Amino acid sequence: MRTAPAIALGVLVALGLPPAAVGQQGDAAAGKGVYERKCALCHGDQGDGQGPGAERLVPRPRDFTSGLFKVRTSANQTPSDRDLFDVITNGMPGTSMPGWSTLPEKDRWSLVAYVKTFAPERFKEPAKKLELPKEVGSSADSIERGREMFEAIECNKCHGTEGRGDGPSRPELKDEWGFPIAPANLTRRWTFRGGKSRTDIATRLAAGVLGTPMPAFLDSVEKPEDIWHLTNYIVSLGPEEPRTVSLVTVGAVSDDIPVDPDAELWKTQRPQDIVLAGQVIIEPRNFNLAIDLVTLRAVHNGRDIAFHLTWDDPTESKAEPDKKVFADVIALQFPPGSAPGEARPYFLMGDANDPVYLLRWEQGKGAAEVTAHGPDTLTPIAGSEVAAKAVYSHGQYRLVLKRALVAKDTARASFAPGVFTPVAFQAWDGGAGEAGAKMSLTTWYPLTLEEPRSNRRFVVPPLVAVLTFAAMVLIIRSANRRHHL
Amino acid sequence: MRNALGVFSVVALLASAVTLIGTDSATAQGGGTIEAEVKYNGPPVVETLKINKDTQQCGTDAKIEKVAVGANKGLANTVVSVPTAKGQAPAKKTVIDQKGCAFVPHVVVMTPGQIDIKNSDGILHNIHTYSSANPSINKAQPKFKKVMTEKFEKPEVVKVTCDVHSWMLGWIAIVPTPYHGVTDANGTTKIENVPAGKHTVEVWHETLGKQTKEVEVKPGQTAKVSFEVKKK
Amino acid sequence: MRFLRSRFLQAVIVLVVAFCVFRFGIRPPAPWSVIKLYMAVVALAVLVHISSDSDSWRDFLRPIRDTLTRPERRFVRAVLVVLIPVLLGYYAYSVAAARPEAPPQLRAIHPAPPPSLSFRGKEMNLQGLENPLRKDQASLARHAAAGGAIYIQNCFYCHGDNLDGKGHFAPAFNPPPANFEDPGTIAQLPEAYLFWRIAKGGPGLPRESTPWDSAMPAWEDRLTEEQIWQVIVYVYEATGQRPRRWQEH
Repeated sequence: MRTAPAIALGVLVALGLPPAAVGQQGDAAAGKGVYERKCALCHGDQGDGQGPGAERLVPRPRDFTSGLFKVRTSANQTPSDRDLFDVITNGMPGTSMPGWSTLPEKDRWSLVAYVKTFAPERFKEPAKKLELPKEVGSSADSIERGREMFEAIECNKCHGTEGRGDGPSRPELKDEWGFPIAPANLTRRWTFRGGKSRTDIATRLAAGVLGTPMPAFLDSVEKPEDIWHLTNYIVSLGPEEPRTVSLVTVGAVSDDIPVDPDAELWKTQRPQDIVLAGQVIIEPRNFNLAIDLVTLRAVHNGRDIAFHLTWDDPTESKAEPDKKVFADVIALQFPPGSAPGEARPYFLMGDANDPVYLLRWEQGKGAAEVTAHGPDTLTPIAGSEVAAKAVYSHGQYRLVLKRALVAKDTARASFAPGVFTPVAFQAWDGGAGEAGAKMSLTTWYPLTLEEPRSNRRFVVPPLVAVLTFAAMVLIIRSANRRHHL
Repeated sequence: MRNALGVFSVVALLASAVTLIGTDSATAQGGGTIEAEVKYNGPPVVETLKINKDTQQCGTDAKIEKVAVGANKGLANTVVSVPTAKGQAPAKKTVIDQKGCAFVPHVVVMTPGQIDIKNSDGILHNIHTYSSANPSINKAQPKFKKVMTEKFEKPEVVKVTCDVHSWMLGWIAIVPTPYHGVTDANGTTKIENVPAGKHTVEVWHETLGKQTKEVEVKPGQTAKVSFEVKKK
Repeated sequence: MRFLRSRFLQAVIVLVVAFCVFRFGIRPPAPWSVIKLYMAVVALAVLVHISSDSDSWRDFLRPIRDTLTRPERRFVRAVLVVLIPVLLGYYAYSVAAARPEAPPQLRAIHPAPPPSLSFRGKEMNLQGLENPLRKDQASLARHAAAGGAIYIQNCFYCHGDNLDGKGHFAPAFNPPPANFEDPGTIAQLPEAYLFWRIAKGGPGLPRESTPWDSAMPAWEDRLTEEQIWQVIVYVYEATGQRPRRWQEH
């Protein structure tokens, strides 16, 4: 049933009719009902972006009465119906706006029609299709040209030298309504509001993002095709999706483990992306967390264990309490002791009865081993054994925390192969005012130590094959002998 | 030939940039001059901001003059126009420059049409306009893009900002008459060759708002009109 | 159709059909370990059936013996002698080279609620407790709207605008936030159960539900009794689910 409109749309597109023509089937009156059920809690009954949910959201819900829409494929300011439909369907990655593909397609078209009624003036001028320059495929040359253009047109001013959204203009940026707005972190394509495909990126570059500081670059590059070179460069900056894991693996190595986070060893280790959420269980709640992803690489060599953590933070901040600036902090949390039973401490930094053990690093102070009985009750463990080295550059921290595999007491965690050790992650962006319970965190993950990879996997299978072969030959022989008897 | 008869209104501004706006004389036969003077009864409002980037071009301090008051309480940067006097648009394009990370002049006035936006700094700026009657613009102007030409077709006052340098602020007043000017540091401006007759003179200031006054222009004479703008 | 009388072929067909049923016939798909177990049972049953009398057993063995001995089947024999050891060797490799997987979470998802709870010092008997807001049907819509506002300010970060447990905080949490659209969650539970879970959150769970893992806050610290009932009304209203009634027990 649902495929019918899709096929009809496909036919219309194939016939060269503008997709907008299809959108006209949307029924604003029907859309009103859907809107009030699904959209009004954030966007408000009046479409002004002042629903009850708006206050705690960053970025804030769109004010439809402005008629300004971030994502559009048009050369003028009017988005096409298809643009609105696509945003409703796919949501706005990196914001609180989810994709509504669960709604019937008809309802989504009706929503498009209804949303337009909030700013009828803005839709008087029909959308003019933006013509992108001729597409240039990705290649080493194109990426290099894109990098040159990135520097020439100074994308770094907002997006930072390496694209992590840490440029010098970052703190000044405001949206059309005067609210602070963060430049996109170009190394995280999956958070791009208008989608992560190359066409999506080229379109945003060419047409800009309305209502935000992001300007249109179509007429502001040296040659039109530079839009595509820039696109190819941006795509080369990071993975398409986070490389999330459900099991944290500590690889096995035989040599000494370097504490330098930029050492060669770490480049050979598999990145494991850990997604963090805001702490909203106890006050102060952190609805708009600053650090939502930490990349972990971890190894052990039978004596030591080391964790290599990478995370993006646009500001390097040490504690300056009088300026309401706190230190950037990251922590790995484990249950104390060596043989974790089924029961664990509460994931939110333990409680009065069951403490947790933290490997904690703080900008300006360095690493420490800490016992926590909840977020506000931290006690450093005397005689810390953890070695650490951190590097901050272009909006990114890289840190190594290294410690002995087996701890000398039960206040600390010990690690052993063949055991699933619970681990949780916590991070604070002091520059964004995060401290204490205002943090981002995860629940417990299982962590396992890889055993040094023996050569068993190369020995056993041929042995199995040879033995099977021998057995089969024997069976055939004996069968034949019996048969001929 | 027409150039020879051209009339110029000279607008001297803070950065002493000079904008020349020619008006067509054909409609201004037997016109007079309006000399407008705008006074302000309060202290100047000037904010300064530390600059942390592009200091070579922008300097280390940005001076944001919200209310610029000169000698004799003259209020600078006030748009003066005579909307009741109709005439042909000037042939010369209006120009606004981005120089030293500031819009120069801070306020320009033009008739509906084109404006050249220059980037003399050789660093990235972005022209971000806030308007209601005209489509708003947000276009990047990287260092190699020395001039961009934009069009404003409907009368209104357009705010111009640059998101890269958030302190940058400029105003483009689009007025439906070629008889216009912007007050200089002393709060005065001269509008020449205004057709004779009774006219309305309108002044507009970015933070202090609008006022109008009636004035009678006689051929070959100078009509003085004086405004007193109050602190808000 | 004479070949269908072959015991060997019958056994093969039974096994293939059984596999297809287990693999594709069960929704949601059964894990491989379960399929393996089922297949072992079926194979055993087939063997028992075939070997129940000696004629049938001989019939079953005949094609195997033929393949092993008949000169005209030499080619099939050679292929099998190579193929089977290679397959077994590959299987041995995949077992030996396997990376460890996350241990299964043994967790009671809907643990038995306590008979009563203390809500901000007030004793509430959960057994038979109904949502008091449903008594007055006229103001139910108002309560649903108020519940929606509470939901969007507090709950949707994890449970999602769509009430599908896919809020933008959800990926950080294991166990994942409850999906109210799933007929296996709130539709299976009386409203008093939801009240308990909302009021007491993760820390109020019994041990078998691994309270140390749950990120569900204890909302009694922040929401009033009426607000909790309102958000319960909203959650049912917005998903179109209906709460389980006590008398259905």
